[in-house]
Amino acid sequence: MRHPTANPKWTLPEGTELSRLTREQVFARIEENIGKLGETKWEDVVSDRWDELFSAEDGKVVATSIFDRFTEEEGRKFYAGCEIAVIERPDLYISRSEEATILSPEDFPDGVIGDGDNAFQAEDVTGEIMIVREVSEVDRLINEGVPEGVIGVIDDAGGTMTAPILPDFEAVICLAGTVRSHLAIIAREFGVPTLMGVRLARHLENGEKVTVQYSAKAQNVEAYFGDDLNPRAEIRSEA
Amino acid sequence: MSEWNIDEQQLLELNTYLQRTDDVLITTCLTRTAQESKLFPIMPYLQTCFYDSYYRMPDLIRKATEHCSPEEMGHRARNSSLNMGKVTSWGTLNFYLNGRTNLLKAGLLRPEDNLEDLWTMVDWHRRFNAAFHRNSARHWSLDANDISQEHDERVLQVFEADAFEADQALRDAASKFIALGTQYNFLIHCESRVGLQSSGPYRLGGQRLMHTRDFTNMSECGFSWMDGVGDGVSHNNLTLTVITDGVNMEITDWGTAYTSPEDYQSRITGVGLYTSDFLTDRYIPVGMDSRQDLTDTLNEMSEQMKDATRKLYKRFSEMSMDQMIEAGIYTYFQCASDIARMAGVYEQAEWEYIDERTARFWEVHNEEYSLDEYVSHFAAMDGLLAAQNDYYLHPVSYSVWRRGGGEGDVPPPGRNANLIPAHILGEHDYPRRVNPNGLADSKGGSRLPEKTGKYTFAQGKLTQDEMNRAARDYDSPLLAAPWRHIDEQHIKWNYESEDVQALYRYTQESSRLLKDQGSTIVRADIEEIRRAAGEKPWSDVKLDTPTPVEA
Repeated sequence: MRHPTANPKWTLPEGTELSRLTREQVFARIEENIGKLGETKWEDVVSDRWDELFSAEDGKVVATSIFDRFTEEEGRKFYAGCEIAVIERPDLYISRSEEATILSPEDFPDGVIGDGDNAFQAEDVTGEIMIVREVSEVDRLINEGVPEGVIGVIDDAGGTMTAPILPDFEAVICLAGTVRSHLAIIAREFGVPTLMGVRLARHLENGEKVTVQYSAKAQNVEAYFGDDLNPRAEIRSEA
Repeated sequence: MSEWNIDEQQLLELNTYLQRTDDVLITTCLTRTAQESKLFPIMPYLQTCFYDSYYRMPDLIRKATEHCSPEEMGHRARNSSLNMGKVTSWGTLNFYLNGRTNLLKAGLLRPEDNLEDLWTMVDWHRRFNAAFHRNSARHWSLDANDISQEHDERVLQVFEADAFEADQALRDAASKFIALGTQYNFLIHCESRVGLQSSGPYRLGGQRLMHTRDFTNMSECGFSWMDGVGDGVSHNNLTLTVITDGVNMEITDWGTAYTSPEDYQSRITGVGLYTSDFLTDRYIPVGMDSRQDLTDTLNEMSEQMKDATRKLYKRFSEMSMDQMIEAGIYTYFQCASDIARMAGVYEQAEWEYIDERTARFWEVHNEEYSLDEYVSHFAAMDGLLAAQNDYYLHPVSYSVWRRGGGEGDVPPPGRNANLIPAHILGEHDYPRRVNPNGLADSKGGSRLPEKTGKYTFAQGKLTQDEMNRAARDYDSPLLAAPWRHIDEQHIKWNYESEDVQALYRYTQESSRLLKDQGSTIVRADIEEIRRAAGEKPWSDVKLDTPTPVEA
């Protein structure tokens, strides 16, 4: 029996090296297992003998092999979006936000240290930066309260990491996502001015003072379908 | 062993439905560009849940539909706000299809494999949505340019008449309730939208629009992590009716309401609050005795949700990564659980375990690969098995490219719909079902604590057995002839008939202003009724600072 989907007439490259590696490893394992099945038909094994095509043990072996090849080729561990992955499996993961791309200051006008898509039009806010990246930090702020007038800097566009404290921020800078992401949806409902998908010329520091142009026009959601983007709102240092 | 065979008509219909489903999926996903969370391992749970849906959902649907047809479920979802609705019916089909895509791209499936299962899933979705969307006759919000109108006139008239004009206190209370409810609901559902739905917008004249916001699974429900957390929240399902003036609105197939201007809260002019579930056949008013009562109720509910949010955050933050992935899988998987509950055949144990066929991919689906595959499947449509023939243009990606100015090469011929090849009509050489012996073929385990709490309904808290008994005993005149078949086309010509009058009176039974008004009333009558009750008709309600609507 041959592998029925291994050799399509039309092909496209995989989107990432990790996707390519994974597909190659999984397909190779399946090919190997098919070779052990002898004379049989695909329709007789695909559901009834699923573990002979790809077993739990195959999954573990392939996952290890992919990681080894990936680290060898890419020179890094896997990126993780969630904090717990890095805490539980530091051997496997590094935080994606630690690797966030920083643009050149020349990509921004004078005095501007970053920009982003405005979730809704409000008034400009000047405040001190507070970076919130860990659940333990949120726990502390739940107990001690968020200081008045701070601008929270959040790595991810989800609405849950900072759920208990989000409305207590004066405003938010989010380093990911779009104006349709969960965080943007919740921020609009709370009326907390928020920039999404923020790009920076340098890392922000806890306690530094910035002014954010929340008075900019909200980003046009149709831009995701190719319409013109509204100008991004600017972040200026007050140092 | 099933002897089911597909015929040519079914095959062509199936492929058409698969393609339309995929076009809606790709369009919706393209506007949702970040799929990571600091708290939840979203991508691993999302990708692995797809496998579980593929392996188990067809049999769970077969079991439920032996007792409750897709059409009955659709009617019930239209008459009340259930967890099974727009986004969850979308998820029920799409999570299964995404599992199919994952297995195809892994080289473990051909498009025609387990074809009877695929037919079962598509057939259920099509029939449920045809009944659910009986009035608009559109399965997808996208087909109506993101307008999502499900409710019948008799329900909307009650919502319109009974909503209280918002003073600043009510406006603030409603805004706070929506914000906290949305945030709390995202947390309950492990960062997903499957507990939030919206319907509308419905026109009220001028630039006034009405829409509804549904918040489901807010109290003790099917999720074990809500035991002892949600018990302080007094209602499991709540529907807020919101009337706005000068606000543009769209509601997507994921049930999310987007407004223009984005900060619409200051333009809320009317509010109402209801509860319902699959054991009620109508909306039950909550805190609707007076405007002050409604304001107090919303504020009280907000405090309940705020407290529950903190408790739930603590509970999740104490879970291991594997437990969080399982919680996410159960959240997505239980999108469909109202199907079993409505049928009175719900068994918690059938909905809370990880199938061993899914578990084999656990380590392959690390955080980074899971995200890469999300982008690959739902946006880029790239990779070995996503290629269509050299001439193919994908309508969504080509449209994005054109509207973006058409720079660079035309997008590559990627496609995600995985249509069924027609040659199978000759040999029918495909397995029919992934589980030839039904659910008995599915085995697995769970790392999460078992659910011990009850399930919350408008009638009170019920055990699983009590819930199933109540579901089997459920009976509503709305589901039987003649009322079941009284739709808007019938009402248009027969609004004075005895049956139509009785149907409207049944819907108006707990209405504060429309009780016993019957079916002959139109908007002008509602305006008069409100005026007679000492409340402004909506055409007289003016915002302090009206602003023109932006395009």
